[in-house]
Amino acid sequence: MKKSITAIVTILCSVAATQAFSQDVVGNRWRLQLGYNVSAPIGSFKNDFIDKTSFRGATGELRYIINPKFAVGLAGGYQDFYQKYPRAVYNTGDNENISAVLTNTMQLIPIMLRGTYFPTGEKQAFAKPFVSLGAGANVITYKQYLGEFGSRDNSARFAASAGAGVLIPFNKYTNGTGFTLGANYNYGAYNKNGIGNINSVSFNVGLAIELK
Amino acid sequence: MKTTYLLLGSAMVLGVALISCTKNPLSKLTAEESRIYVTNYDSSANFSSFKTFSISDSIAYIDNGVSRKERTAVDQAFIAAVRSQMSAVGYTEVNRGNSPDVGVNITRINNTSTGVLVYNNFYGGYGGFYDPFYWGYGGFGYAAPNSFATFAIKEGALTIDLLDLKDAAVNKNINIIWTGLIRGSGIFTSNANVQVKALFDQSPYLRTN
Repeated sequence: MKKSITAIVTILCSVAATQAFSQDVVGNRWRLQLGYNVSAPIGSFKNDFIDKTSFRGATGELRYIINPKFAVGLAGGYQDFYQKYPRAVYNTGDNENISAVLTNTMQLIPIMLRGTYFPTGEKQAFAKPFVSLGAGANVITYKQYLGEFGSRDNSARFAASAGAGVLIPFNKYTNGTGFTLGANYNYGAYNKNGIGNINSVSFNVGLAIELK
Repeated sequence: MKTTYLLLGSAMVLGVALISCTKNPLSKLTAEESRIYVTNYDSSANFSSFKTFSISDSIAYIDNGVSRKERTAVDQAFIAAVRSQMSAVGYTEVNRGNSPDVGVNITRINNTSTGVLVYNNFYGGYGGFYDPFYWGYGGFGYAAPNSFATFAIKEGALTIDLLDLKDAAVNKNINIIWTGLIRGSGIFTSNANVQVKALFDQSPYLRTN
């Protein structure tokens, strides 16, 4: 998984580099993308830890336009997952049982290098679709509370994401500035505390800004 | 340069906004939800071999490592709750002088200034809190199987211990065969029956038949 994603990103980057400066770029090459992010856990993350969708998240990316069709950027984000389970009895040892209200939380800070491909390039259009691929790491804060008694674990693990979306420019003069809508599949490695992975599907709305 | 400031500015604003929207799990818990009920038992004990029990009319209050006997209204409520649960699972209460099979010790722990008390170590000082002579076994010590709950106690806690008095003479020890531990907020201001019942409900092996 890790290797294939690295390979794809490398290929995309090299293809982009050979095409660099072959076409005119409108406006500044630096772009900022900020968005509000909703993320739904899937797989082991959902089954073994939190199944509630998180509505507390944000994404950001500083992007450099290599050529009209391809950009690379440093992406960051934040997502807060939380779920409180009703009181239940848990077996925590050979003969030990604990009745508790269980609260699971996880805060993720993904930091990724991301490549974004715009098939329509810098051509003026009402909506410019894009696909993206990113790889990096999640900075993970795991917390589990039995009643008011908590345990915590911090770690950083490999993360990758594949996404698709659309950029809607405000008007024809602001080709790189506009609203964005997107969806991502996020792979997050994790193998602690009985959780096999922290994969999720996320949706975001945001703004893309051409920096002056 | 302007761009750099813009970026730094927006990153900081975003950062503060994000941290402030993180849910604080503890503020989402009521006192009832904050409490945990922990039980543990000696797997070699045959709970149906015990028929009678006796319970002290006061509890041991350990206030920051110093113990004394207490009998407040709260203590009496917990004693009554344990008495009622023990009867509900089939044990018969007898006087301390009538050779009860099981002795019941209740301890209230207040640990605000001494930091952390590890529950397993707590048994090391158990004889200091409870004179074995009270149960008619002066000279014996208390013993807890090492599988018991390893919990650090920071604030308040209430423990209920069942002691094997029936086999004490053979074992030359008073073995602690069952432990119930309540921790969290509002233990002493909430209904004692509900809390003690939670401990007994999660211990289905604890009965006479």
